[in-house]
Amino acid sequence: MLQVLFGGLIDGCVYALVAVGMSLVYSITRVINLAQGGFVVLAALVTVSLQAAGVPPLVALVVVLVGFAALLAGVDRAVLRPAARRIGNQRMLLVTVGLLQAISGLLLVVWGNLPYTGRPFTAGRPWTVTAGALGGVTVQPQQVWIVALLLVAVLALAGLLRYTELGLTMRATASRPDAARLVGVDTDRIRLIAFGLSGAMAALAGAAVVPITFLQFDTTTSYAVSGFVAAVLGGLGSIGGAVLGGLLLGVVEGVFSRYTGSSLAQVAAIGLLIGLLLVRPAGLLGRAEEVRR
Amino acid sequence: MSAAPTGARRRPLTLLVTAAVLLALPWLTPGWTELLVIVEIFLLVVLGLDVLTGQAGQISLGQTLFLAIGGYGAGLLTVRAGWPSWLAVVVPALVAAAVAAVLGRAFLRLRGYYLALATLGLAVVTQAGATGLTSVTGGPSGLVGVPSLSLFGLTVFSDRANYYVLLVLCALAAWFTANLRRGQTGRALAAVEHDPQAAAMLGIDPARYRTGAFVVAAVAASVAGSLYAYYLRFISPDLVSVTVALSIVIMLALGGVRTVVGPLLGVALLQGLPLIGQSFALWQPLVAGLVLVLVLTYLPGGLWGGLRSLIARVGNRAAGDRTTGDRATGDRAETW
Repeated sequence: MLQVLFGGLIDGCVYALVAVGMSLVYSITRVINLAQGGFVVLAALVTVSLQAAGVPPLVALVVVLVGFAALLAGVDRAVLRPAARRIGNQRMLLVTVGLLQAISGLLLVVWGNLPYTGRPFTAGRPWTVTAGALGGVTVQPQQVWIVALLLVAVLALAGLLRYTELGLTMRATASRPDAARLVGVDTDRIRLIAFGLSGAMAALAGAAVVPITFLQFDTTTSYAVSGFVAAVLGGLGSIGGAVLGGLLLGVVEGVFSRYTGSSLAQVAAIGLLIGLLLVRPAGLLGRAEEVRR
Repeated sequence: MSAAPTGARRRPLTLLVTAAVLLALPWLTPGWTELLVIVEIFLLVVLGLDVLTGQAGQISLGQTLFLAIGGYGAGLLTVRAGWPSWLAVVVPALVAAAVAAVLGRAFLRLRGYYLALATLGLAVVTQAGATGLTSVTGGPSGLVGVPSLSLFGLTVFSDRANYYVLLVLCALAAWFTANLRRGQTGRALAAVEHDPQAAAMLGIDPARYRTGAFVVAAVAASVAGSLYAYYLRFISPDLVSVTVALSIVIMLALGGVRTVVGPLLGVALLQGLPLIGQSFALWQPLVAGLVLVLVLTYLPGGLWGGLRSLIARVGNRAAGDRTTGDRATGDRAETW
């Protein structure tokens, strides 16, 4: 049982990383970037290829991190910003669906339809922790890495948003874009930075998860859906909410899949989400915005 | 300009030519009938969705739920219960309508993203349920041995027979949606799309109209699902996956809403592209994704809307009349 909870928690950490990226972009641009799920898998497969080329895993992580921050900023500049200038938010959602499909297509063309897995960041044997009557948990080093990366990323992001000048401008842009522009904030630059940060989050999620799972071109949709669900579960635009939503989703899926099989666990997770949306539409930590009509 | 025939006088002729071409199509393009049938099935789904998205302005990413109700319903009722095949189309369609009415009441109160998410949830539940409920649905390998549709003692087995049955259904759906758009209900739906509050003030109940549109879309998808199962003679989770759910929306957005030709164009492109060649099948998802992004960004009326405004511009230039350049870009710019 403890092992199940722990496994769910680790999955939840990955969902949380995806959701934090989506939530951050949403708070600045009001666009849900479903393509985030695509970038996660893209980052994972790039990491695998780098490792295969002989790059040490931790160096590959840094390369992917920087590369994807730049890539997402570029995608925003080239695709999403021009689109957002012309069309409304609901159509923007479809644009990101198109982008998601294009990334899956790219993965299919470059990596084919085989599943890939990567090497863990550091070598080492799994160790077992016993907790008395509750039973033991086997922990792999890579799982520790995932938890640590999530912690560092979220704390760094929270620190950036709370204590720096840039964070202040970002928060201002998120709450009142027009007012921010009036007092001289370059909102396009803030947009670019938000996308860059979400690219880094996608890279972290992809590079960290690929050693403990198998990924191929069509796993993009499931990461997009899980990230979206986690972000809404916690309350769109709230970083803490995204983390909480991700962890909760992971644990619920983990516990259910133990008893019902993994596909019915998904049904349970979605049921939970839809129930929550109807009762508390703003999500767990979200502020009551205009969710309903 | 005055020499050209007016739209009203041209219409019966256009209809007649279109009907003749459609009836002759399976004989003109032997070997392509299979593709034509699949195009018709998805056209039926997309035409239904157009009522919800194009007319009532609501996005649904979960049409596979109703596709599955129709497909699995028809399959189970004929295989397990031995029902006549036509009845096994009608009953699931009624069930789909009831499900849509209940879900519509609950979901359509949610705004933009939350509605999109809730319906995306339906798509995930559908795929997971079809895979996971092994004892009912047959699990990942699906439900096999579904019989063909039989109507009035005739078995609809061949590609051509399926083509004509579906042609009738698609024509009915096209006629229905076009009439709906022009009639009072269509205007009410458009009012609800543009400004629900103003519509409510005029005595139009937005919730009722949105739910109604959702029900129409659900019934179309359910019937299409049943015929899909009868045509392929099996139904499996792959046919109702999340990817299929997204591609249904892509077809509509690609072709353009509020027309009949737009959805046809979108469906034909997405279903037909992989058949161009083996090597192209590999590139198809990438190309389709990029095309969708470009069309959504630069052609608000979809491919068909873009094509129409292009034709209108060329026509106007030829007639030396520039003032009405933007009249033909569709009924209006899309707001959703």
